Formats: sequence, C-alpha cells, structure tokens
Amino acid sequence: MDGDGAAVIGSPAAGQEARPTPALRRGGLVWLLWLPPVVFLGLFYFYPLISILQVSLSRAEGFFPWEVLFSSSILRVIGFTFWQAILSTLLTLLAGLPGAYLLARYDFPGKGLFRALTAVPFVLPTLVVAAAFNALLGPRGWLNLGLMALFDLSSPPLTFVNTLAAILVAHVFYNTTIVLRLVGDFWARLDPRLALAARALGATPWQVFRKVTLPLLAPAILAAALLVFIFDFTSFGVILVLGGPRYATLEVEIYNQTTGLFNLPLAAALSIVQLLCTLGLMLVYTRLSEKVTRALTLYPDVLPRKRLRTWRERLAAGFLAGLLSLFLVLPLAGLAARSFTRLEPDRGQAALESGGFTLDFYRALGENPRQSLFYVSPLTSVSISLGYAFATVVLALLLGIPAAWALARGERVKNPLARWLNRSMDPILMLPIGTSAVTLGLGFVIALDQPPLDLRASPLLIPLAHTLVAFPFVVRSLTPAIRSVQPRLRQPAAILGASPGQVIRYVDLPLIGRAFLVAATFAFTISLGEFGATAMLSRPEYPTVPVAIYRFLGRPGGINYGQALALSTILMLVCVIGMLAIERLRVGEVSEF
Amino acid sequence: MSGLEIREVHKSFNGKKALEAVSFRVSRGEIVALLGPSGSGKSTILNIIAGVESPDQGEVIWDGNPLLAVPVHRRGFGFMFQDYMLFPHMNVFDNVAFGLRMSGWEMDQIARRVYTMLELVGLPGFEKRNVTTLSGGEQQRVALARALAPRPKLLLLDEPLGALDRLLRERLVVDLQRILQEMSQTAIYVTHDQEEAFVIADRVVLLDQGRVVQQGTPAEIYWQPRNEFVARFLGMENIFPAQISSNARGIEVKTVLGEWTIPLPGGTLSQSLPAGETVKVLLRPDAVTLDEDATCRITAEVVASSFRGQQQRVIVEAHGQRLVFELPSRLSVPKAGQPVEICFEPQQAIQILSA
Repeated sequence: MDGDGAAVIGSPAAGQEARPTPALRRGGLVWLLWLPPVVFLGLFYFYPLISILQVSLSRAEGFFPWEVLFSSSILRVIGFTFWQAILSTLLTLLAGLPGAYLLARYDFPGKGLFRALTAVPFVLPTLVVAAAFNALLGPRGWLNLGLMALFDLSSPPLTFVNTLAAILVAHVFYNTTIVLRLVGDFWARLDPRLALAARALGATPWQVFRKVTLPLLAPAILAAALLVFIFDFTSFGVILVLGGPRYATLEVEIYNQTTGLFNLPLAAALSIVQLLCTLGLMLVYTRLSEKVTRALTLYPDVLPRKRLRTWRERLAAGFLAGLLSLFLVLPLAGLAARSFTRLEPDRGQAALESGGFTLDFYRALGENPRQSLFYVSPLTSVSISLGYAFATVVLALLLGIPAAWALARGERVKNPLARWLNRSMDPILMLPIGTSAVTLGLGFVIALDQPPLDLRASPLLIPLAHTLVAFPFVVRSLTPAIRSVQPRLRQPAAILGASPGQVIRYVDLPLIGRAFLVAATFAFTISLGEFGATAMLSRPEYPTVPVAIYRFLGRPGGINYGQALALSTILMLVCVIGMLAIERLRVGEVSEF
Repeated sequence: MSGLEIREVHKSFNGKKALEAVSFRVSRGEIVALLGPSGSGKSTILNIIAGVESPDQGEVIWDGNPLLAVPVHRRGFGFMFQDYMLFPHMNVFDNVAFGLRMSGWEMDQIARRVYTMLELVGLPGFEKRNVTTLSGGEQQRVALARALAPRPKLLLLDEPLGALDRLLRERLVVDLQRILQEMSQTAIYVTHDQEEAFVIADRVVLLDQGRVVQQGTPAEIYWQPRNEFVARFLGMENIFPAQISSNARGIEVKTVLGEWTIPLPGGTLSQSLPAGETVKVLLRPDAVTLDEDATCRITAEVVASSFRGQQQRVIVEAHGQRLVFELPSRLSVPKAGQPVEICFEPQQAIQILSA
C-alpha cells in the first residue's frame, strides 16, 4: 500500500447515457481507442506477470521454488502477513467505528475540519508515515528524547520502531479514514427511528445495536474491513521501515528475495501467492461493494443530524474527536517540527551545542559532505522524482484519455464485439490496483531487463511502473467527466446562440478540463509517493524522494536523520496540497472509494 | 384514573417553546387524535409519551403511576411511524415477531400470535415476504401488526398514513379504526388531517404552537369551533369582526354585513360578552342556502364557483367582505359578476369565536 488513496475503487458513476456519434455506432473507433491502453497493459502488466509465472515454475538454480514455498520460514511469513493484517483490521475498526457513529449522527462545530483532517493520512506516501512515527516515537523521536532529558537517561527508554506495535499503529493511522467514510456515510442513512421502533417493541439499547443496527451496517462494515485488510495485506513501506528485520510480510519477503538474495524464482513464487490472495480479496470486495451500493439505494437520503445537547454528549464527542485528531495529527506535526529542530549533538561532539530551531537539515539537502563522486544529494532526488512524476502524468493521460473516452462514449455502441470489448476492459483496467506494487516491480525486473524488451537503462522504466499504478485512478476520474459532456448539454448552448467553437470553449472544456487536472494530480502525487515498485527498480544513482528517505533513515547520525525528516516534510506538503486540489476540482460524480 | 394522563407538560428546544402547559387524558380503550398543523408539537408529545424525549416540566402518568423514569423499552407502548420503519433485514414474520422475542415469548406462541396478527391486518401468507418488496399499504399493515403483536397498553401512531396516496388513505383509515376498535386498543393518533382524525378518534385534542386549543369529540369540535384558529384549521374562512349591541335575550351582533340575534352561547363565554365588546364571528360555510323561500340576509356578488362533486364551492363578495360557501351541487348559482341572495338562520349559521 502506498497510500495512493483507494479513492476510485468501486463502480464508475453510471447512469448517464452518452449518445454515440455515428463513428462510434460503427464500433470501429472503440477498437482504435482501446489500442494504446491494451498494448500498454499487455506489455507492462500481463507480459511481466506471465514472466513471473514462468520463472516461478522454472527449476532454475537446482530447486523448485514451490517446494521452498512450503518451508517453515516461508509459511511463517505467509502466516505473519495474515496475522498482522487481521490484527490491524480489527484495531482499525475499533478506532474507526465510534468516529463513524459520531460523523453519521451528529453535527458539531469543527466537523468539516475534522472530516478533512481524517482524510490526510490516506494520501500520504508510506515513507512519510513511517518517518512521521519515527519522529514521534522512534529512538530519536520527541517522546524518547523528552523522556531521556527528563529522567537523564543514556538510552531511549521506549522501543517502538521494529516492533509489531509500530506496524499496527501505522496501519490504523493509515486506514481509519476508510472506516470513517465508508461506514459513516452508510450509517448516516440509517433512520434512527428504526432503533426507536425496536426500543418501543421492548428491546434494550444493547439489543437494538445487536439485532438492528449491527446487521444493517454489516455490509458497510464488511466492505470497509475487507478494503483495510487488502491494504494491510499488501503493506510494504510501513513494514520495511517500522517493522525492521524481524518482521517480514510477503511483500517484504519478495523485496528481500529479489534485491538482497537475488532469488528470483522464489520471489516469483511468492508473488504468485500474493497475487492470488489479493485478487481473491478484491473479487469479494467488489461483490460486497455492489451490495453496499444496492443497500444505499434503499436509503437514498442522508438524514438530518442531531446537535450535541447534553454536557455528557458534548464531552464524549469532544473526547472522541479530539483523540482521533490527535492520533492523526500528532505524528505529522511531530515530523514537521522535528525537521526544524536540533535535539541531539552532532557526530563527534559530546554535547548539544546549539539546540532548538534550525534550518540545517534543509540546508544539508543540497550539500555533498564528503565531495564523493557517487554521492547523490537529496535535492537531486527531488528533481529526479519531479521528472518521473511529470513523465508519469504525460504517460497516464496519453493512455487514460482514450480508455476513458471509449468507456464513456462507447456504452451504447451497437456493434456487439465493441460492446463486449468495453464490458470486459472495465474490470481489466482495475487489475493493477489489485496487484501489489512490489509484484509489479518484480515483474519489471524479470521481464524488462532482457530482449525482446530491455528497458534496464531506460529512464522511462520507473515512470512506466508508476503509470501502471496511476492508470486506474486516471481512468476513473476521467470517465465521468467525459460522460457528462453530452449532446444534451450542447444543444441548449447552441440554441442560446453559441457557435460550435464557443460550445467547446465554454461547455466542454470547463467540464473536461477540471477532470484532466484531477487525473493529472492523481498521477503526479501517486508517482511522487510510490515506493513499492520504485524500491525494486530504482538504481543507486537515481533515487526518488521516498527511496532517499528510506536510505537516510537507515543511516546513523543526526544529520542524516534530520534530512530524512526534512525530505518527508516536503513530500507530505506536496501530497496534502495535491489532495486539496483534487477535492477542489473533482467533478461531483467521482466516487470516494 | 385508569389510562394515560398528561399533566402540565412544558418543553423547549434551544430556548424555543415547543410545548406549553399541555394537559389531556386518554382513558382505557379510547382513541384520541392529536390534531394540528406541522410544528404544533404533536410529535413532541408523542415522543415524550414514548420516552424518547423528556419534558422540562410536567408529569406523564399511566394508571396513576408516574412514567417519566421508565425507559423506552419498559413502557410497554407500541409505536407506529409515518414511514413504517420496518426492519429491512428481516422478513415479515421476523418483523412482527420482534417485539414478542424481546419480551421472551415461547416459539410456538410467537408463531401463533404472528399468524393471528397477519390475519387481522389482512396479510395472511405474507410471513416469508421480504419487507422491502411490499407496497406502501402492505408495509403499513405489517407495521400495524408488529406494533399490536405484543399487546401494547397504549399504541402511539405518528401520522401512520401520511406516506400513502389519498385513496388508499381513505380506505386504510377505516380498516385501522375497525382493527383498533375490535381489539379495544387504547391509542393516540397523531395527524394533521382533520378528516382522518374525525374518522378514527373518539376524542380529538387540537394543538396550535405547543398549546391545546380545544378538545372534545369530533362533532363537538366541528360544530363548536372555539376560536378563530380552530375554525380556520377546519376550513371555515368566513370570519369577521362584530360588535355586541345587546346581551339581554340572546346576543345581538352588528357586523358590516348586517345585524343578527343569536342565542346565548353556553359556558363562560356569555359572561365575557358585554354590550359594546368587539368579537369575531363565524358565518358557517355549510349552513347557508340560496333558496328564496328562506330568510335572506345578505346580497352579494358572485366572484367564482367551482364544482367539487357533491358540493360546489362558491366565492362571493359583499360589502368588501369575501365569503366562501359550500353548497349542494344541485343548486344553480348565478354566473360570476351576477348578484346573489345568501339565506341562512343566524341561530345555526352565526357563531361567536373566543379571542
């Protein structure tokens, strides 16, 4: 999971019908439009996956990978992957459900801000989150340094990094939003008088919850739990950075087997296991979310919410909202603050000379301390990341526009073959979401570094991987906008005296233009924060920002640590601004999850 | 006193008064309608009786015992909502059985009771049906069966027919009245529709802005609306100021339209009507005729008339006063702009309204 926001999973906004143009009625254009995305997916998704399958089945280095798969150590990894995902999911539900109730049933001052706050973690790159928790609870974090200063300790008293607790806390931090939004939105539509009806029939409050509220919420809770589970199951950056060497999930194991041990066959076999699990879960999730959508049509209206009346209600709500906000904001604030604060002596110095506010960490980003030839300064990584992000935007739009156009405009094509193509392409486009980033990276490593397609040295390798991750999001945000441009909207404009050029300028472009911006921002932020595939593919001399953060976090010394936090803070800001832009520009129909 | 007693109940929301000194009683076996426009406080009273809201002041008493400390689920009252609030995740049987399960009935007793109730509301064989696939009328019947199944001491109905179309409503209100009466069910029926209230209720409590303005049988309220609000709420619009010219044998009232003598009204009203006092009088729209044989009192000009089946509504103007009458359709009414003689007996047609 790279925190790219599952913002677009779920059904495309349907309902509005586009009238086909004559060319589309013939069906030919649909095929033409599908050509680039199909070629792209074929070359960079299916071909790598098939290569993975092939490698996993080859008896390359004297062993058959599927035998090793059932060795105790690998079984332990698989077991741990499930175990931490189950625990994380349960904890996330526990943290999110009371908040979902609060959001669904009550209006209170600051609610809009609270809602916006809860959405922030979801868009942050995993490395930023890992760095944030490190800055708060790590050995050099606020809490440990504070305790050390307070009690005059020589070593950090709290061990947080490299524990299961760290993994769980970061996962809850990431995914509480999903529960708040999915369950909260559903809950807001359940009439509170249903509970009243049950009470009047003699049910105690607890019986009402168990027999009426919970069964009615079940589809939403299950869907949220499943989505959270999928993210936790494929979590990579969090486990790599916060879990340390003791904890490996499938995702981390694939990475280790590939980059550390060069055991591609085993990595491939693990990828196949991973892929089967996530695709199976995605399938169940899709079914469930259809059920939720169906149930939502049963209760179309969001019901009026109550105000907090008694002091007890106010206190409970304030406590809950405060606690959640604190949990979500504290690590991020801690990260930003820590990146501007010097709290420890530099290497080689016995005591802290000048503590407090400092810009040193940011200044150091541009320096090359040992004048080393191979050293890549962090600022270089920023420009590398930006370059990749722009390339990703261009690629994703080039591929996403024809796909979205075909989906939006080709819905009522007469040609049965073209219709079949449209129907089957829709779920296929979503496949990359159901494939873990590390698996995508592994596919590139295996398939694209040898003829016929050798891209090892190509600067496009990483943007291509990022495009694969961003592509579904781009299509999902473009389709409804293109669908909303209809002859029905053009006619009134023309009748009102607009020339065809004016129609395009004042009607079509404003509608599509915003969607383009949203799609581009999605692609941009996804690319900036992507870590799973990048970690597999990046070359030492061209690190992206997340890769640079990962490296700095792994190095000793306060200045390295500070640089990691400074880079993370910059990345966090860019992503939050991106999210705000998306929220602003979004055309109403894009569904949230 | 057996039954329900509401005593001096006050309630405000955020400083706005919702109920002011509301008092009324519901005897065992009686059906009382709370009638009033929206915002008059009907639903708030119902919520207080059910135990969802608590009053700022006042008492709610059942069979002599105070109720306010009893939580919702121990009051043993049934509740029916405008949009039924059937549990969408349960079938018809489970919905009706819910209250029985909550009070710990035996399985076979539950089954028998559910079948009896579905029989009673006219939905036999509907046990396995999914409630979301039922029509509005069917859902309403299931809701009734569910509310009645645990034999509630008191049934609270919150505009239970409000979501249905007029035709269905007229049929169901009669069914509902029959069922409630058959079970001699004590009930409070909240509605803003006077016809519904008149059909179903033994007694009507009329509310305006959180106060009880009049209570009595439907006939009492219809024939003796106490004040201008009640008269207007019942659709009687011919209300105009009058001066009491004498209060000796009967009351003489003087209006722009003429001077009439009417009998002394009973009760305290007559004492507060000395000569010279200005009051409001009502000219009942249903108590006039155009028959030349009767004594005609007002010459007016027809403004418009509209045909409504059995009745026609005729709007006339006299001395700058606009009057509306409900007349039998058979009467022929002059065309708009023509003069017309309005004939009535003041004793029946003129009523003094209290301020």
